[in-house]
Amino acid sequence: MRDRKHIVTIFSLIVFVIIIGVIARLILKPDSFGEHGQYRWNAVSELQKQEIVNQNISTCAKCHDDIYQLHEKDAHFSVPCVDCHGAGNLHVLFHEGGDSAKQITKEQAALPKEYKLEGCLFCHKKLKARPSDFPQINQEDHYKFLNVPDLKTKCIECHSPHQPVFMLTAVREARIHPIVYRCTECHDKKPEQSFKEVAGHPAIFECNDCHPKIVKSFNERPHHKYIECRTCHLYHKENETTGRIYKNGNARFCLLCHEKKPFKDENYPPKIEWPSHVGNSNIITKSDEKICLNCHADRIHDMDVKIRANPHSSDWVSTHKNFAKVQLTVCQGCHTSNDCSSCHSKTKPVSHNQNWRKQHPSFGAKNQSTCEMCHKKDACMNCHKLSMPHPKGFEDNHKEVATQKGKAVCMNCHKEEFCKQCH
Amino acid sequence: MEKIERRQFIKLGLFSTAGILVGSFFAFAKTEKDIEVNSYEDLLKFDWGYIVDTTRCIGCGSCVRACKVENEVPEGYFRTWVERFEITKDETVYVDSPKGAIEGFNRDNAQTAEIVKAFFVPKLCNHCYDAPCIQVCPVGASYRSPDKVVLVDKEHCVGCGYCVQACPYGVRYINEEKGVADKCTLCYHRIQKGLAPACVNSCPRNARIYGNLKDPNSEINKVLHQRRYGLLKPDLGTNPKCFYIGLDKEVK
Amino acid sequence: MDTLSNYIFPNEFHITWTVMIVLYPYITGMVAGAFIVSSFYHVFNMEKLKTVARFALVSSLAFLLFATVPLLNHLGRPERAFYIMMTPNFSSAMSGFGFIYSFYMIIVVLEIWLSYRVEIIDKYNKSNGIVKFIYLVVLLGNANDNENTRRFDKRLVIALASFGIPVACILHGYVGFLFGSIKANPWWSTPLMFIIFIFSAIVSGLAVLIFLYQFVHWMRKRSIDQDCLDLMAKWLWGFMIIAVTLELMEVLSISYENTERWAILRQLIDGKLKLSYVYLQIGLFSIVPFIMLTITSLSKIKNTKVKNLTIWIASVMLLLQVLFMRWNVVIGGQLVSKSMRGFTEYFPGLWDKEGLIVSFLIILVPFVLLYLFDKVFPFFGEKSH
Repeated sequence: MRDRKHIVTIFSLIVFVIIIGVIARLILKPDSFGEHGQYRWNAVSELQKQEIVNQNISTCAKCHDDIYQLHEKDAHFSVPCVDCHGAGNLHVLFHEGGDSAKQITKEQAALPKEYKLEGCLFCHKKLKARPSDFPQINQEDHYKFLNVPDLKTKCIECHSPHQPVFMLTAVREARIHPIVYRCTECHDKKPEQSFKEVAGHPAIFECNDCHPKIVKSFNERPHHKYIECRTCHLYHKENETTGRIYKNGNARFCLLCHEKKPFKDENYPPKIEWPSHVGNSNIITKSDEKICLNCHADRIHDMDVKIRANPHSSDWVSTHKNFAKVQLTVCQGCHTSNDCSSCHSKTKPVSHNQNWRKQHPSFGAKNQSTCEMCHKKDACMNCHKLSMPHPKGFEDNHKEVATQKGKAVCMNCHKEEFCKQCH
Repeated sequence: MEKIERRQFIKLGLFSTAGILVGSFFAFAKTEKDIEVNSYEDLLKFDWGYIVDTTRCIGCGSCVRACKVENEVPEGYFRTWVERFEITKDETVYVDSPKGAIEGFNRDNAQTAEIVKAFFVPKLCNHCYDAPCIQVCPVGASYRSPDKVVLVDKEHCVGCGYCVQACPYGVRYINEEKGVADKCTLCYHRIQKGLAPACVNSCPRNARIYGNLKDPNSEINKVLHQRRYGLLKPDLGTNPKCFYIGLDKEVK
Repeated sequence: MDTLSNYIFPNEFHITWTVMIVLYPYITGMVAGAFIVSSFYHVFNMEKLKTVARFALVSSLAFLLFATVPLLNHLGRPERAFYIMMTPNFSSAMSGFGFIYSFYMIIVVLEIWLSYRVEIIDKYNKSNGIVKFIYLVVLLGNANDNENTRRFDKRLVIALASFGIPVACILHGYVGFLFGSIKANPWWSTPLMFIIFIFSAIVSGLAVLIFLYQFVHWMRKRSIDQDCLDLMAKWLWGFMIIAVTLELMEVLSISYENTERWAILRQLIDGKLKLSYVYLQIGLFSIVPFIMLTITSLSKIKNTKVKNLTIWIASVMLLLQVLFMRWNVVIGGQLVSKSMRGFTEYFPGLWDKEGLIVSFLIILVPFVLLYLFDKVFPFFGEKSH
């Protein structure tokens, strides 16, 4: 046994070292390891305590609600504030106040207003890899199309970043529409022929397929040569088969091309000064965003440069009073003061000459409201002793009236021979 | 007299030292921010999934920048990036990702006139159900949380780099400064509070969607039941949770 | 479709496993190889190997002591290295490292202690003062030496040697398995990697023993045990054939199956690895030693000087072959991008923390240790010309 002692010693030493190792493991093993799996459970809560840096839109909207309301309705609704303005955590902490705000300087809290990297072209520059439904431009071509000679003109001269295309209906509420294609999605330039004239061309939807009347009337109009349906009907693709289409008609959208600006070509496309074109400012009210159509067309496809024959509705003479009270300058866009005084003067209108007595029945029958401009409603009674004109069926029912009020009333207008026509 | 004084003096010294130590512990100990953390049972109700819609991505790179700012991603490494594929008329494929698309894409890679098909593919950690990176971590620093997000325990990682080799998607890297492995955490600190991950938040085209796969009414499940999608390297058996709508065969 | 652009994933610009990770399997390869040679003497009673048996055993330890150095150098957080034993995740091939390494270390140290006990006791008896005390500590306070103890020791050594063979195989084989099981890497993923590593480890073990044995004897002008050398050379030839055949078969299999990965791997072999793999590993350092060793093993060369020189050159070349094989596997695999469309670049810097100078030092130190050990306990007898 003595001779094996050295072996026993060394094995005991080894066992001892192993035991030390096991004890060391028990002591030094990180706590919470193995609680819910082969990992340190505390790590999960440590990770949850990381600071939040990027702010989301609802946080910005708490203070900047005015911008938010514009932003939400227009084409940039899905572009979060952080994309252009930066993460914003210091800004929010600074303005919230409290302990954490004390370590932040004003310079740190300030957010850049303008987007740094190349401006709008950063997203909107035309790249082949960008989906064809995404609005992207080649700057030179775009400016050429709009006749803006200086390429250094900034995009924001026309497009407000929070309201780039002045949509009337938020994109999310625009109508669902089957997918439509533009020729330029496959072809570099818009081809001369229609696809129907090309043998073996894949069948695609053209607006003409469902909307022939609109397309026909549009093709007879000046806009036809220069723009196509989707220039104004902004199309938003949702997936491979559907999208949402947007109706348009917003005056401010029209102004993107037609407003006179110093950096734009003066003559082409036809330009107007705004808002003096329609008088003073505050012309566009919420209810009147489609103001261009009021004068230039009933429907936008029939839009013509010339003003349409009679832009006013049929009851305009009676309804124009409230409009004129607040927007007289608009009237003055077309009418002179002479036009007003043709009706509005203390002296009789010109029409009331010696023949008026004979002429007024036929006039009064159709335009009673016009008479009521000056005359009170029951003014007819003064002469006629009866409300005028005669109600329907008076021919059959005049017996009672004649009996009650006496024939003298009828004799105001009618001679005796008149009754003998029937009687 | 002397002895008692000495004893008292020593006692006084000991107690005052102890008092100072205890007092200073309370005075200088940082109070940890009172942030509520979700309990284990709460976390079990979630299974975070992710969708990348390659038909919508425009390659602006906002996601890459937002992630970098949110998570202090070191220079030259990426937790998420955007790749561009361009296929020309003679069937050649051009793939690029300039600095991970952190500054977007400046111009077409191939000749513009020759390109017939082109698209962007954002990439990020797939948070696989059978993640090889969790399998190979020797110390248990790479793990799956109860809500099935694949995470790295920075306090426990030894920086051996085995997980970086094992990931077929190339989403992991070693943070040189800290000496530990790092990768997309699905902005774990954000999703616990109901906020979207930084990349989802910043995408202007809704090309990135995230959500709870266990919730039948979540947006992510709705999209998964409507659109057709693919997975990256499905033959490797990693069972990834990141679904790619419009995935092209050229994307690896 | 052809890819014209060289595309790699953005995180692949920097590779993770540097030349340190090339050295680690190289060193453990020599550990395993040397131990197996030593064990063949003890277990299978190959008397011809007696001359080098102890030398092989101690070389195994010398390399083993330095096996962890490249790993620790490479870890991002070396101070946390013990987590591998404290919180091991056993689904990971690497988690076994701590335990296997410690276990193998115990076996080797124990075997050496038992083998050298007689000499140590002898030295203990002849010295005095502090040196005597040191020897007593090493003997764990027991200087008992007689027939019985020697018999027990011998039996235990045989047991340890036989037990140690599979452990040595696992120590080095798990590294091969580690690489071969990474499905994400097209160059590494193969079930053969475990076997290839073990066989090339034996080649490197034999080669380093032959190299050192001949070098030392040449330096000291001592005569060589020709039988021993011949046996080792024959085995080197045999194992080298197996190892290179396996390596080539692996590549042949991938190219024949022609799956997705062959396209990019072919570009790797034709491009980035043309010099280090095609010309050096296979061309120069496999074919030439093969020819040399075929001649020395199969034909009778009368001029022993020429024969031994040929063997020596062949073993040097094979040492380099194994080193290049490790390089081509570890670095080559990381040069290929997982996008299957491009390659990244790597060459270690000179003065980097994981650079060439440090690598050179790491390889050198075990030889220095052997030299120092030899000073205390000479490996080879007093025979001279």
